[in-house]
Amino acid sequence: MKVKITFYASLKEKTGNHLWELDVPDGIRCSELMGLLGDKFPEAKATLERSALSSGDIYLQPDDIIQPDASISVLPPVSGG
Amino acid sequence: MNYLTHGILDPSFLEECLKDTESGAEAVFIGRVRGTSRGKTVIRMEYEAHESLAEKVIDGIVKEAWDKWPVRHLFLKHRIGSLEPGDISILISVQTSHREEAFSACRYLIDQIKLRVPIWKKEFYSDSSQWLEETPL
Repeated sequence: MKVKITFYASLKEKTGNHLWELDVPDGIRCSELMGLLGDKFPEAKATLERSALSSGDIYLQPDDIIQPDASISVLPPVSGG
Repeated sequence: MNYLTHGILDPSFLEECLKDTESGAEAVFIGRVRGTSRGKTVIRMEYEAHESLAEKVIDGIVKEAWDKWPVRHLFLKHRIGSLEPGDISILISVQTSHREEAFSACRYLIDQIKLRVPIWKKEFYSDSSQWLEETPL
């Protein structure tokens, strides 16, 4: 199935793009998606291990299953203020 | 957008929007871009946000402050985009009847925003740049 991945901050530079569309296995969990992203973008792996995922305006948990055609945001550690 | 802005933040705005003769205390926090960081001269700072999620998370933090303290008025804006040293990145004002709750609520708001809101900043120096990614969500 296809999912849209949006990277923020340093991740968009380490992965070479803000927005990616990737093929992933059906029923993949968030933790597994993070593993796939780490394999695809080894330069981003250390940051990915400290990042969170959201779908729309909802934070996802490691065991959550990614839905087909989902738009997933990958959120590195934050530094607002 | 309610809490994020691309525009300049001006504290004098608080004088016009927060008038309440029953508020005996107003705590204001102003966050500014520092001109030096990690021993390097900062020439500008870029703030980026997941805007819709940041608005939602800030709204939740603001509601928590209203629930925890007897707040009479609250103003909060976080600037995103390109800022220079001295520019205001965040402006918070909390009005309450007494000073203790004003200080506490204001401190809570800035602390929680730094911990929980998907906003990132990138420092630009004369010869390099660096994303500051400090607190995992």
